Amino acid sequence: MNLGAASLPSNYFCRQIILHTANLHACPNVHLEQIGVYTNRQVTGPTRSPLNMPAIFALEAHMDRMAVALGMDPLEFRIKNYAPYQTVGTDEADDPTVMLENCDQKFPYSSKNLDQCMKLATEGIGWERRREFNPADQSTVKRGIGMASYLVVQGVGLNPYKAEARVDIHHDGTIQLFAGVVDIGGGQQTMLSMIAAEELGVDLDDVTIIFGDTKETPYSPASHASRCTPEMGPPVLQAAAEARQRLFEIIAPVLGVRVEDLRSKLGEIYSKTNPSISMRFKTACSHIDPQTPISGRGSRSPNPKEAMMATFGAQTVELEVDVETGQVKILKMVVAQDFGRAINPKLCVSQIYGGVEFGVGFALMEEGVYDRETGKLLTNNFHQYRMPTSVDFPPVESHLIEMEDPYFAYSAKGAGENVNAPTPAAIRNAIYNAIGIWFNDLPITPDRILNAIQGKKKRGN
Amino acid sequence: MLLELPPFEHVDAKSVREAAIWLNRYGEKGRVVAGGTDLFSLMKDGIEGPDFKKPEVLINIKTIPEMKTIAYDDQEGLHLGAAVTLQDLITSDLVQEKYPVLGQAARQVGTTQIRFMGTLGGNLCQRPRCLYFRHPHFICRKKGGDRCYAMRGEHRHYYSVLKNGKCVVAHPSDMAPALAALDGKAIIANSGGEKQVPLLDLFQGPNAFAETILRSDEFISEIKVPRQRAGTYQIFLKHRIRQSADFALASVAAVARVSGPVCEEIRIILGGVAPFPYRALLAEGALRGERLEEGRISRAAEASMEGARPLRMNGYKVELTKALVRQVLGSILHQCLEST
Repeated sequence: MNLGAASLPSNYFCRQIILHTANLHACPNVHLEQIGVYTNRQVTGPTRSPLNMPAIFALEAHMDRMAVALGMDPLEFRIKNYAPYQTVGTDEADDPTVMLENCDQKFPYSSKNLDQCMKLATEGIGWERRREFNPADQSTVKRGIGMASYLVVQGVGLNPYKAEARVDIHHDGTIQLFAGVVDIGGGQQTMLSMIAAEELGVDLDDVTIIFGDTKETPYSPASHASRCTPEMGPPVLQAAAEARQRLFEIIAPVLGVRVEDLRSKLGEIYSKTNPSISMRFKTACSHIDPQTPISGRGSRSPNPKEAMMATFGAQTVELEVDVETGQVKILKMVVAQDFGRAINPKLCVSQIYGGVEFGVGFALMEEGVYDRETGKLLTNNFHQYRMPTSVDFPPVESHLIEMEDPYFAYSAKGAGENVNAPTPAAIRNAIYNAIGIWFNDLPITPDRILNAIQGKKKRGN
Repeated sequence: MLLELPPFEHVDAKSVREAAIWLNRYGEKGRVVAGGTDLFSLMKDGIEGPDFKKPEVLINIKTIPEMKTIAYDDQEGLHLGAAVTLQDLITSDLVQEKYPVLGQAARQVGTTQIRFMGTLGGNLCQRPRCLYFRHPHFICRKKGGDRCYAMRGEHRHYYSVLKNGKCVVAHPSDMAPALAALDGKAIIANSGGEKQVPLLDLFQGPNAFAETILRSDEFISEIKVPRQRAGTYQIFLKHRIRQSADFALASVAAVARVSGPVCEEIRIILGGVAPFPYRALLAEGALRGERLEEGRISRAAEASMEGARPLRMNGYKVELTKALVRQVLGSILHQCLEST
């Protein structure tokens, strides 16, 4: 890692790189090393999903190269080396010696459906067609299809770890959800409110969320690393359930039923043994002491030891490369994600689009250019540091694979920033399929493509 | 780097003559402003040089009615006020019908916002995209320093492969190749009146501090484009890394009169590969009076890059430009065959 002249410790983030690369595919012989190098550059940091993209790019690019060397289909090669378990535990990556001692251990995942992701992503793009593409044909515009997969460990909580939430129900029917996480545009407030509303059996509009307020809210994780849903979902659900229980305790004597028989759904509280005994949720609230609202609390501890937790995804790309101009045109992308259950599918798909946008940028245009002599950043505004615009954005087909996971609120795992991780590798692998050249440097700009084609011609192969 | 926009005075000029008088009065301290899409970013970046002092008075020329008009007559052809926006060119039926190459080029400039603000004159007078020239910490040759940093530093994208001098930046304008291919003329206004120069003569070589011949008391008031005869085909192609808000790695504008399909007259202008819009005379010569066909198109494309001396890292532009020239000429041939 190029750390710049004055930077964070050289092992910064090594944990993530090792976790993500060591566990994606089954392999008994993994040796990973991370070296930080001080250079005359300025201090730098990742723009998104710290080091996931660079780690996955190297691994998934190499997977395709190995598949080609073995004469295997890249999809078949990945399926053959599918890892239903983790080989490096979350804690162990901090300590290389422990990691070495335990490298034969197999930790099960709480849920993993990456095989389904790869199946849907390849079916969606028409994977089999890639065999028909021939880099050596006479056309000047070559077509290629490529894929990549990834995993992101969930629940990064380090000490002091706290993920807490509170739900208050008032005499007038007001329901307040207090959560410390900040909605940075990913829809965290919507998603958490939906979990609370579902558990309380009320309409989403009945829940008011108070978030990102250090005076009012209990401690929560920061909004990063796709943490909000997996780490804040369970405490919100627990807080809502506890508040609902308190309300049932008040209402049960009024209705003349046992507390454990009460259920709540669609704004109605009713007895499961005799549903004709019921009361509107709002009416039930009027029995709460006006001075003392009901309060429910929830919290989540760091990940348990017995199960490994991660989200997974696979992406495929179909693109065209103009060998005369070096232009890459992405025709279509298919993204299939195992985020667990989607609390709000629209928000999950938005996260997919956002991830793809950054991934396309990393792959084809975003580049921090430094002056070699002075180490100064030359691309110091967004005109020079090119992020994709709407015209650069490809059509994206999204699939959400929603399966059970007992460790999370309604089986919902994180669906945030990491979707960009496999995009550059998938694009790079598709470019190989199109023109038969491997690119190991990003971004793959027209100058690099034309130089590589020229170099290949000169070598005469 | 976008530092703070320095303070300045702002005056609205009501006529070309008034603007010229203001400019004459303030000399190097004055500057005309229209869309400001380049000027303000230069000011924010603190870009200064021997021919480009930090402006203290901006003379607004958007308030001059005749500078915002698009007019046409059969004798003289097209009159474009220099403060006509790029968006005006794209939406003008007249331009679309008679000078489609102007719309093709305008459509590929910047972003929608920039095309609504940016003007034709501003596009011609924009400063280069050299990463060092735009960086406040590098006092490069164009800013009066003693060396060109790009020559041995970063020069992959916005730099020249032809006619390089002591500065190696390429001219970034998309409108200039299109206007030059149409044999346009620029009307330059100053306090003494106005003068007319062929569009290519507006630009000067790589060793001058400024890209245009405009003195500090001069500005472009109008562009004239002659009437195009029947059987004229016009194409502009631009290649860039990002499909919006990006400058040309190379661009090609060609205007040809073809019948038969014999190429009777042709002008081919290259952008993004030389310090000024570059007329590919050898390529034109290979085609003039000849039948347009594949082999000749390839030879013309080869000739277009005759004399190219790329830098260490931008040699790819030579083959890229040839490919664009081939594509442009191929489109002209295709259109010609389709219309007959």
